[in-house]
Amino acid sequence: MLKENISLSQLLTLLINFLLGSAIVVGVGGDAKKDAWIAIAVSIMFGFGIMLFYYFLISRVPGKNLYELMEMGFKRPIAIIFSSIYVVYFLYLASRVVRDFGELIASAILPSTPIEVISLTICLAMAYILYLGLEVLGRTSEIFTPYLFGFLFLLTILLFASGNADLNEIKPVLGDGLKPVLKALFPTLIVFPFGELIAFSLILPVVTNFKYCLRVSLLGVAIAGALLLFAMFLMIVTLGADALLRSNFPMLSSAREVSIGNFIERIDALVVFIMMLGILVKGSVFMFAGLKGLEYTFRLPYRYFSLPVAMLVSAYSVLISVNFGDHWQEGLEMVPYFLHLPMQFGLPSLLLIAVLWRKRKKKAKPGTKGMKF
Amino acid sequence: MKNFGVIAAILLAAILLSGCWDQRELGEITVVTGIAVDKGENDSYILTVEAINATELNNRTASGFAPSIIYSAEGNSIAELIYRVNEGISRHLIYSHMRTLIIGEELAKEGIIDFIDFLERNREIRDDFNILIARDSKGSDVLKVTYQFQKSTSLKLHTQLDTMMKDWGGDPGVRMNDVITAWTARGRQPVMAAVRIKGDPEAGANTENMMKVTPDALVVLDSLAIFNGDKLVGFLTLEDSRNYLWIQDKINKTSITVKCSESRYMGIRVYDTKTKIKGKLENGKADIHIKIRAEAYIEGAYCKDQFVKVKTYEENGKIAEKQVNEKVAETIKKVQQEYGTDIFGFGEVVLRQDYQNFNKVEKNWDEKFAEADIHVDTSLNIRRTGIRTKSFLKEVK
Amino acid sequence: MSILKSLLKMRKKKEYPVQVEEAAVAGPDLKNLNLEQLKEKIIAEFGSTIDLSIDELKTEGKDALLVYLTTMIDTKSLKETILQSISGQKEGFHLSTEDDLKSLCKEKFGGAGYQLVETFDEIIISLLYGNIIILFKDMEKALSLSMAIGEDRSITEPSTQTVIRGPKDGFVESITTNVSLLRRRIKNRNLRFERFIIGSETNTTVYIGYMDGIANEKIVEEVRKRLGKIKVNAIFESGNIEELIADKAATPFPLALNSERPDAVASNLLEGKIAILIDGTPFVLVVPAVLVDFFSIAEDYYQNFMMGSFLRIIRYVSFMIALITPSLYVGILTFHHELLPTPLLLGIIAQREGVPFPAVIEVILMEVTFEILREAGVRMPRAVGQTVSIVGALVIGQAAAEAGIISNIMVIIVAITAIANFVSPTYSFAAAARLLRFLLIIVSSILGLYGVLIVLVFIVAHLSSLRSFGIPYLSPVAPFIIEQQKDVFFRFPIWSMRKRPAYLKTQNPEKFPKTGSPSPPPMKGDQPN
Repeated sequence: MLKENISLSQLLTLLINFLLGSAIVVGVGGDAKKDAWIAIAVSIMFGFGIMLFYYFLISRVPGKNLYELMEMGFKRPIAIIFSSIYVVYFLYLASRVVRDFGELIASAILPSTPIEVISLTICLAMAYILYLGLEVLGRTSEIFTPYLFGFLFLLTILLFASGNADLNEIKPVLGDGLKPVLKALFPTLIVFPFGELIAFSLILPVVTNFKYCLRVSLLGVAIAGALLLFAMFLMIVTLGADALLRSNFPMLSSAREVSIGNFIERIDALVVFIMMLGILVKGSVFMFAGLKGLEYTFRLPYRYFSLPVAMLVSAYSVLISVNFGDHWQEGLEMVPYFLHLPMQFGLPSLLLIAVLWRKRKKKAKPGTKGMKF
Repeated sequence: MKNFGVIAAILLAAILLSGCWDQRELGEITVVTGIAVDKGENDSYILTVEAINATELNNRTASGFAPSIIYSAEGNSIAELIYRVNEGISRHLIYSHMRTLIIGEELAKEGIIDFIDFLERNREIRDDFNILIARDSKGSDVLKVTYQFQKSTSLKLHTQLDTMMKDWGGDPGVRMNDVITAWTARGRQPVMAAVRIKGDPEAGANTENMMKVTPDALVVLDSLAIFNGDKLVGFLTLEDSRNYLWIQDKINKTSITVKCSESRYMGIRVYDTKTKIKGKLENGKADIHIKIRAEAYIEGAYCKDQFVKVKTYEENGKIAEKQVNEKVAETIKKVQQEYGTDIFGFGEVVLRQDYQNFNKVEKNWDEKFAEADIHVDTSLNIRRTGIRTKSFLKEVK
Repeated sequence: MSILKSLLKMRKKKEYPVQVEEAAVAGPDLKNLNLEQLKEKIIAEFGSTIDLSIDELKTEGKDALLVYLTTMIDTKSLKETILQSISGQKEGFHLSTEDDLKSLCKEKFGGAGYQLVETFDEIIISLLYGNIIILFKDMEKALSLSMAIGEDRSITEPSTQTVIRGPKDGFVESITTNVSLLRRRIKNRNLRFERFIIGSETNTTVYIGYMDGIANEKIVEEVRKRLGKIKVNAIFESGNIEELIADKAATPFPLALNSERPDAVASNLLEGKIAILIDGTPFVLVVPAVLVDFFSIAEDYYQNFMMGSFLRIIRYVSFMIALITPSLYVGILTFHHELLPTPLLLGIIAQREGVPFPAVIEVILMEVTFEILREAGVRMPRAVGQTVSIVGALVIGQAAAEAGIISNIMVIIVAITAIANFVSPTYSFAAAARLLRFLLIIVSSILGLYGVLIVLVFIVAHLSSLRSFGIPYLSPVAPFIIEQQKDVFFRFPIWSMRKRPAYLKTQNPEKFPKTGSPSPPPMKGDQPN
């Protein structure tokens, strides 16, 4: 089988779509109210840091992904245990993403269509893409990205043209001081969406031009962050902080405001469809990360697992929570502390230490180790 | 995994063949263009819907039947009632194209318009309909009045108010979100446009009304309904309504009549205007500065002045400025004194520009508003005078 | 792989005109048989076919057999040239050794494309290609002379892919004429043609043409390999080859470009692509093909670049219209009424009042009707073709709408879809839209626009996975190559398009040196640069 490779531009679009993915659907940084955009602006800095951290981890041993690094750091049996945990983590996140999308569709577009159907169809699409491989995922995201930009651009113009956007809404800036901003930052904004970049520790090693990888990744984080910031800004000036907080899907609510000349209006259905593309990429990347873990554990090409795993994700996305409140609460109160923090920072830090230690040991005894290479 | 296609196809077929959940054929639906909510006799609300008979609205297919059907149902929750009206209407009602929501005056005064929550929550209903108060009548009566061009009152009202707002101002252009924002915002109270039936409501509910040159009944824009919280507290005249819009920087174009000398007037068309409000608290007293900048041209001058010199332009501009200042200040004063409810959002302005101080007085902002110092400063520039400079009037007289 | 070996050998020889050389399969040699046996054997091979002619003659003092298929050769030139030069005997010359034969041929047929063959199977194939064979007594080699009749359709304007401005000649059924059409356009010694014989029963001649020094050797090699692998009995059209050499069979999208236009093929050759010419069909394949090739036509480059870009965008838009309009109609009208402006919705409702079918049935009914009409229009004899359009337009469109079976807006939808479909410059690509349309309609009737988008995602993923001779089908959009965007959605001025497509990895990536845009002569007073 040919080794899969993705180009730098594909990595860039994957990053952008991934970071925007569900963040733009559910909105982030709401705790900071009017100053949510400031919180996001600050979080981009953390995003850079996180990206650097994962890059540093991955670039210790070129061409090895997270699971292979774990094998290097901890030996295979332990690595299998850890990678199984990661597989569950990634697939859980994939189901959350799918559920986010399912809720969006069910509450905004197709209210009486069972959410199972929505989950199943989008998971089938993800399964198909992953069955065709990471390259196809890269290309698909490359194709869709211009639409994402085009849509945001169009939405901005339409919102300002229809006079719904009121720049006064962001005032007063930092009226209540920095406290709400910090509250929004730690930990929710850091682990979501930026911390989730851990999934890219499985994609970075297969980028063709690894030399420029870091630059492109940081650029991706910057662009995605800027877009997120801009989207949040747009939502605040259109909806106002109050309505923003009350909206389940703020982007959708802002799009509903558009009305120009009684003709260009009601574009929210279209907005949903554009959001779907981000979800598709994000879900697929998580699923890919999970599949890679299975590939590592069972030593079988990951494509074999794509359909069954996608079906699992689709089923789990439905079973994950009983209602929207449950889903919401779990995502805001449980996941960041009990899942994100250890999986995004705890384990990788441990791994980094282990890898560095092994490398040093290797260096210390060049005579014996050098033979192997 | 060669069989990916097969498995996927089977799964898809299984899903797809099992149903079309949200499908609504066009033949099964009726578009609702307007609803009216009134106080119920036994329960809280009476909901009246206007369901359009699309065939009648299309000139090619129309055959002279009533353009829409109006049906009412009574109950305690609008959310339930919008489906309950099917007790009298045969098709699924589609609310996504709702153009007007009319609230009966009686209901508005009692302040139980909390059903707006339903409107905001519902995915179908959008934020692009006019919210109106039916002054001196029931909302359902307003819906029933027919009209020549668009046949259905709700469609007519929507266009009418829009046109009015663009050409002169007077309709505050209030949408659901504006009302909700005004409710939730700190330092602002909602307003709504009020309409009134001119003529006989009974005769208006007849298709013959559409066929007359002077209809028996016509729905006209009457005034501006102002609220304190969710309770209707009073009405302002159309003139005040325009001034209100001017303060809110929502005027597109408007015309003003300026008195230039005793019993002589000139008509000025304002085509470009911008309003800026500055507000702060000084020694516990609100100090509001309203700056209006306007561009205008002369539309009709029945004054002696001939518009050939720069000075004439400036002088007349000054007169107009003075008058705008007075009128706008008058409107504000009226609200301050009679109602004491901050419909202008001065509180919001202070909040944005003087956040710390506002926090202190927020609880009794209404009092602060009532005694606030208002300064209106207009600068109006007359740019041109139509396609004539000198008026023939001088030669005549 | 004897074919492959022989073909590889063949490459080193002269390219044109190509003659029958070593036969693909080895047969019994001539040296073991005498003339009588040979004659019997040939008769046995061809059976009782009436167009086999075997004449005995004596030349240069030696008995010989003249064998040919009367229907395949030009009898006039046979009489005039060959028989004259071959009969009679030269003083003191005896045809006894192979060298004698060679010198005889050099003397008499030098330049006439003669050839010496030595196996029986070669003789048979030579005969089938319209050669005459002269078998000499006691000689190990026979003389084969090309004498095929060149009766072809004359060069006419292509019936598909017509242009307003541009050359009016099109390929014909004769492969040699087609090659000459290309040669005439590209007068360059690097233009190479190679020959393949494909089809175990039809023995169809297939040429591949490419620019040496431009085309990617790896792709050329891949084309050779795939053509060599073909093991079918018959090849009649380029479509047969296209299907047999495609990277993936299960796709509605064509993975090779076909064209009737020599100028289009020539320009593609210069881009570094490879042409596959098949004897007996005017359609020439060009590989590797990427999606954008199906939207750009030669005429884009013949007119102003702004107009060219505009028309190209129109083509992309039409493809989308042809693909999704009917499903959007179904999706919006049955799921998303809110997307329509109120007056439009009311108008449509008024029109559909009384239509007995659900929207999806209505659409499928009309689309199928239209496809039937279209098929009928193509298959009908030209003389009655008119009737189809009258019946179609009048009966189906107007009457059905008037009878209230379908709505007027439906007629508009079907019409716009059909017209948009005709815009596609390549018929085979438009066919993909025709097929996928139905899938979209059905899914959209169940899941609305969400379904449409899901199917579009599947289509895009499928397209991303396609490759044509190893080149990703969506290049240069995905993988993204910024330089090539000059010739994707827009057509930049020719002086700015200096690079050959990077995704083809051509040997010579630059077309011409940097010149900059044309500029007027400096005006009086201008500072000379």
